[in-house]
Amino acid sequence: MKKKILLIIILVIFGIFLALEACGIYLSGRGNVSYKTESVKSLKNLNSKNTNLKKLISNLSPKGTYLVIDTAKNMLYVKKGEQTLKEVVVSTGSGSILNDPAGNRQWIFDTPRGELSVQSKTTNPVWTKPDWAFIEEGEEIPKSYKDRVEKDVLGDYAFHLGDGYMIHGTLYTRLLGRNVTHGCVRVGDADLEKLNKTVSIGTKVIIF
Amino acid sequence: MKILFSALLVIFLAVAARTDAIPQHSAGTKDEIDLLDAELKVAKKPVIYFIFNLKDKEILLKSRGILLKKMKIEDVKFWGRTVDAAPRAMLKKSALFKEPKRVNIDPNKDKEETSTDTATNTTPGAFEIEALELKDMPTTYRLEFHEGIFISISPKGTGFLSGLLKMASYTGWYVSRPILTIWNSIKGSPYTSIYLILNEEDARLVYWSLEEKSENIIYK
Repeated sequence: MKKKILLIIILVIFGIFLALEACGIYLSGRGNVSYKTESVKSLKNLNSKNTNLKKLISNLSPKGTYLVIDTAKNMLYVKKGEQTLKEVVVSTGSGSILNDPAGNRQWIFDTPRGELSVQSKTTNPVWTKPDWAFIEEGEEIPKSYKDRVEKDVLGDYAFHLGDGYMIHGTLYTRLLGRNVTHGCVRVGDADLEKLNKTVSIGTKVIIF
Repeated sequence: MKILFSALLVIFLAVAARTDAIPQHSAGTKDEIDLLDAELKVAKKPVIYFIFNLKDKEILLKSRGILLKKMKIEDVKFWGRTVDAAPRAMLKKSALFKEPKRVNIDPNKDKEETSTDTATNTTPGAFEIEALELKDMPTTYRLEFHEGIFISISPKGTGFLSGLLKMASYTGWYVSRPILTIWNSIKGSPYTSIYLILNEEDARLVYWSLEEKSENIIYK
């Protein structure tokens, strides 16, 4: 008797589920569009349009050398077309958050994604510490500009990407390959030297 | 009773086989053009974008038409209305279990205890850093796109526990989809649900690189 009741319960649940499934199929199928087969002439036109679109997309890709930065693997690739010319281990943003205890400001230390470009290059760059660099250390924000300046921490070269983000050198070479920065991309000295010869103002930098 | 049960089971399996197939039709070239049209719209912007190519079972990460990463889809299940290849905003990503959490920097924390950002550390790789890394990304999560399109991602995984979690995730998806379809139909909202199985690393990478509000393309 108990077995029969259990079986009936299972069948009822099964039946309800089937009914729901059938309902779902009917409702979801209503929006589906059916296509007719194309004629040979219109197929030729479609193929031509296909080729044109591929060409238009291809024309959008960077001309010449460009950089691709993989923030997940902390790698930088120097590329030309489909070819990878060089692979470099870097450090990218930690993704950490810093809140200003004194106010409403918040900083999220991500390396920005998307396509950027090298806007300027500096040799022997000097770091002008922003407010977050003091807040992070629990220090007071200096009133004088000269108290913000720190030399010899950004390596021999810096490539500015806009909004304060840079590709630059680092003292912390043991941390290369890890997500440790405040958003900038850090490169080891030897690789930075080689990059400096390759990168120019306007070089595209794709970051993902 | 047994005959009824067997009949229901056969109907159920037939329905399951039909519903999971990706909708196909004959105008392949037209589809490709729609995909290229959609890609052209996104590629004109200085952004990265994903193409979820369900037809060829691959996920492409691209920018300006350049292929940055290609990931294989191990398996795909599709339910609901046909999706046209238009750029769509990814509205939200939500992990099934624990969401990765950003570290909140505490300026008052003792710097000697926690500092890893030091050039004098002599034991490479021996320290833990407080940061979001790829390994912190979930492998089982759901992506919500504009126009009621949901993509559930689950890892391929190996091992008993992994298999169990995958089965649980798939069962949850399977059972919920008709109910959500009916619910959304009552609300007058479209609903499409796609279930993808990727290898663990690719699943993490998609979560890592896919930003909310970014435009992406789903191509079937």
